[in-house]
Amino acid sequence: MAEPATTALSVQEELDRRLFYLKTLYDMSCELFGIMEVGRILKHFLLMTTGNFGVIEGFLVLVEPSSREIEHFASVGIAEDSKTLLKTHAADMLRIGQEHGLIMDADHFPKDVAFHGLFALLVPFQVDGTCAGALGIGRKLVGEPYSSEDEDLLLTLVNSLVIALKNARYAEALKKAYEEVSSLNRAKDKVINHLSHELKTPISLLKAALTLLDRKLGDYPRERWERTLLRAQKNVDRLSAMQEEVDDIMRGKDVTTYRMLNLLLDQCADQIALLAADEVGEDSIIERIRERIEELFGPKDQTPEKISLDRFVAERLEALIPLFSHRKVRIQSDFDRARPVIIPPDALKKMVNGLVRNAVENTPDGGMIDVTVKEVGEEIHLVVRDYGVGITKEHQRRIFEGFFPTQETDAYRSGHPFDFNAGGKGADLLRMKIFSERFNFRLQMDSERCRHIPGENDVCPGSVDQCAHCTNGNDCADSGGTVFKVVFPSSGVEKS
Amino acid sequence: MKKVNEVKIDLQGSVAVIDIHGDITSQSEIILRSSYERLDSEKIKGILLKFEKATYFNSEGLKVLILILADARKRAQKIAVTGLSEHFKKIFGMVGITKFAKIYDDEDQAIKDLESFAGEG
Repeated sequence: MAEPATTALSVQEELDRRLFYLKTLYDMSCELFGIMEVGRILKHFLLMTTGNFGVIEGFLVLVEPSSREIEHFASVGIAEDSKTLLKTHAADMLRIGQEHGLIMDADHFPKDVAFHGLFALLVPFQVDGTCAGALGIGRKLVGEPYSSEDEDLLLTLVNSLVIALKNARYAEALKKAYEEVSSLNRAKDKVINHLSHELKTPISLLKAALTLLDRKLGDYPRERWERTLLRAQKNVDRLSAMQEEVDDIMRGKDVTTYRMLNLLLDQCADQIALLAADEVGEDSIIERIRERIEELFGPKDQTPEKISLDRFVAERLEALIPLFSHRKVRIQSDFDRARPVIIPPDALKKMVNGLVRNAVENTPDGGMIDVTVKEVGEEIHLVVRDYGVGITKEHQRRIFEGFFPTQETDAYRSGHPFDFNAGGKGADLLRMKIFSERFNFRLQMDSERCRHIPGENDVCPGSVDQCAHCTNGNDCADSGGTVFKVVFPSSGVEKS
Repeated sequence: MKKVNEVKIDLQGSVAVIDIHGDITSQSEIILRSSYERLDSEKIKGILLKFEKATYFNSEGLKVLILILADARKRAQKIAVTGLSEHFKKIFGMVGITKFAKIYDDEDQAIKDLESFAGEG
């Protein structure tokens, strides 16, 4: 009768053990996958694994295989001198373990190795091409050898560890790459800023020189020099426009500094004034500091004004339409009489010009563009909708990054403003985005790529007449297009 | 949900009763370790770890206990444990904690045994 009772007891014990092992696996997955630092992952893993098997000593080592250098070492319950030995011989230990297989019993190590007897089992593992590792654990406190179930659990735990380490290493690599990109970005900003400032004067001088030349060459037959001079003027104008765009973009980055300094100055104005009056008898210092901040960081020529958007856009269209009279693009406009928006006129002008030009350059001849100004609740919406080629999903994500042209490849660009597929510098949209942050409006974009040219390298012929898929402008309008919406929130609109 | 640990130490001559509330996990490491380190190893020769019946121990928590028990052995301190559920009594045996510490159901008996051990020392 005693035997069944013993069997029942051992079955119960085995069930308890397995339940405990399962719980450890569950805890391990919960614990490890929330951690992104390799050191913390190793520590938790060691505590859990050695706790699960009832072991005092354990260590984990990560090695870079080609250099044999240790990347990480973590241990628990191991004396300092033993740690030194393990670290010194980590690469050899790992090599022997890898040659042996999945799990290596310490008895299989050559007796003469320095680390002999420091652990009972070694589990080598590979994290990725540049990282291998090994887990070593001591003998069980209960004195039993590791069973095959123990070894299975150990391998499963190590697999979880490898996944957690892979994730952490990806996260570390991403973080490092992000820091590197940020640093390069700052360097790039500095260079662009510097170049933009340095270019301003020579471009102005060139412009003036070309005007002077035009006047001086008046005595010579025009047909001999006019085309060359016009080409030079056009290119200097392009350089000037680019310099101005870059200047606007880079200036946007100073706005935070400008606001912060002004806020600080407002907060401390009284104290500074008192101090200045006491120390140097100077009582106009606050105004001088404010002027200096304005000079260094203030938005230049960018004073917001109340502008009637419907009238402003109508005037802009009137001025722009002659510039693309060579194009067969129909403009439909619908302007509500809306409350004035508050924005610097120069910024609004650049934005409207940019949106219209972008729409025209993306619309083939025979196509159309809608420009509307509407009052929607408390907001004012300016919408420029083209029924052109549209933007692929991939490009939509990057369109506001700057210097990212949305149009076809360089090979097809004309380079002439307002031509179909003229191929701008791609900075217009970034400039608008920066304006939107600076002058408190929202810029939204929704685009559907023309279904007849779905790929980035598919080309629109530039005219509905030449399109193999459309018979008229309506067919073209149905095939795709882009909407840019500029939303002035109630805070940027004059109260009614 | 994990319960936050609370620890009370009651010194009874050469025996310390460490009353531990909350689940024992890796987060318990600092409070358990500091509570143990606070005891004067020259004076305290018997330690009773008093848990609640509902206390949950995960494998990291067990390891934290094993390390403390190993240190106690080096310092010639005897450790007893009370308040464990039946399930964790088995687990303590399975992972070998019972090699370092005796498990009691009766707290008074545990203290009595620890006192007599301390007296022998």
